[in-house]
Amino acid sequence: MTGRSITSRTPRFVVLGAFVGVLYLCLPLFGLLRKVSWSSLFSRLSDGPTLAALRLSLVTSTLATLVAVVLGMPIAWVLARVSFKGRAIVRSLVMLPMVLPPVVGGVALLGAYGRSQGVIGPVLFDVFGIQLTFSPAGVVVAEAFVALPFLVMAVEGGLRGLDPRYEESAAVMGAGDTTRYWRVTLRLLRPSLVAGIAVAWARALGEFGATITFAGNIEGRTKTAPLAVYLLLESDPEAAYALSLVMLVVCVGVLVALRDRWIGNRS
Amino acid sequence: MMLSLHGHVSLGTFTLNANVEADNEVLGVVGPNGIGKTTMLRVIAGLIALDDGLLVVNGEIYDDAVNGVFVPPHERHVGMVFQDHLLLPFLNTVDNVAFPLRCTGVRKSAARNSARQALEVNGVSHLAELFPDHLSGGQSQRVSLVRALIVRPRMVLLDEPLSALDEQARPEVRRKLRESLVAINGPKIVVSHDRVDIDDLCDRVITL
Repeated sequence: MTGRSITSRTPRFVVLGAFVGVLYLCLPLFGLLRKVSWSSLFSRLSDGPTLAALRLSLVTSTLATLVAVVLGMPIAWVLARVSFKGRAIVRSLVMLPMVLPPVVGGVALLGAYGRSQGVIGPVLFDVFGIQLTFSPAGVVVAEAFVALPFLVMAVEGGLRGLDPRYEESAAVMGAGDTTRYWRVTLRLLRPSLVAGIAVAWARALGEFGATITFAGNIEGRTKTAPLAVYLLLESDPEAAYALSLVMLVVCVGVLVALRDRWIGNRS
Repeated sequence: MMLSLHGHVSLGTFTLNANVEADNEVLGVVGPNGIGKTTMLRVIAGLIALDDGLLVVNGEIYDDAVNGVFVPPHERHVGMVFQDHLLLPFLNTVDNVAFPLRCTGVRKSAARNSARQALEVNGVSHLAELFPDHLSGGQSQRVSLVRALIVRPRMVLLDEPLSALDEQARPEVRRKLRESLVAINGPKIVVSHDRVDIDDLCDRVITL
């Protein structure tokens, strides 16, 4: 007899529960795949408006991820490494969009950047001629708003998990604060950053509520793929399923790509 | 004195009182486990600030707790070997050894050339392209020694520099290390459990 741990003995009801749970998650995927009409897939996707929505989604979600990285990296650093009064409150505020209903996020964004009643919206419009609402830039703002916490969470966790001794030894070798950040910390952080980018991007790609509330639903300008899916479901279900399939494939791709990236940290 | 450290630090329940002076010599520091030999090296390197006291190296005040002077580690020109060597895991041997040179602004190809030369001189050029996770303990220790000395530091701090080497390799590495240390002008401090290492490497020994 090999000594098997008692924790490897699993009660039957847990096995059953897990089975039902996995089924619950997989059945909709099956349902989606069943509804896709494979023969007309490409013609549906190459349809003008559908293609435009897909392209808009890819561009805006990528830009939103970029915004999330630029804003999120410093936030993650401060939350992980600077101790200050009220840090817990700041962290809660940063994480808020993750749990906030996206529609509420969209309303809040209107309150900040809306052209007529927003906090700084009128200034943006009057002084710089920038209108975020009902513009592709507004889509990026809305998507970045909901994606940012995911980036921060991944990177902050990564920073806390780093072995500080590598940065110490780099400092002793003559690496100043800036050099150390770019050549050592960021490099050690790469797996967490890649993971953060992936989930932030996936979240931005799927954004619906904040986008439609803040940026509207203008074909070719602010109608992203999720918005298009929702609206096509009425008028052209086949196109809606085709578009859904594309997003599903992209997201599965992200997960598969991450599986390799998460293991080891050599390039 | 080229190096003079008189002061103390408290880390939790642990307190180190250090009174160390070193000239242009190889100074051995011995003492029981947990007495604070590593902490002392970290204070000199600038990884821990003194709570009280004064650290002067080569006439420059590095740490003066009372007057709030503290020179950060990257401005102290230290060559240091850590107990766990701490080769950067994402760089191969050449780039690890080139790292301190890159920090002083040497261009990549020039830094790599110097690194290769230094590895050659120290008889470990066959490790040049390997990453740290493919080096044995002894190999990574030798690479980390080469890395610590490549910039001609103004002082050298070695924490158990030969502990990972097997008995066979030791005398040869000891002899080479002693040569490299003597060639450097400045205080050289070696912390070790091994009395033979200390006796062979050092001009003078103190007990902490």
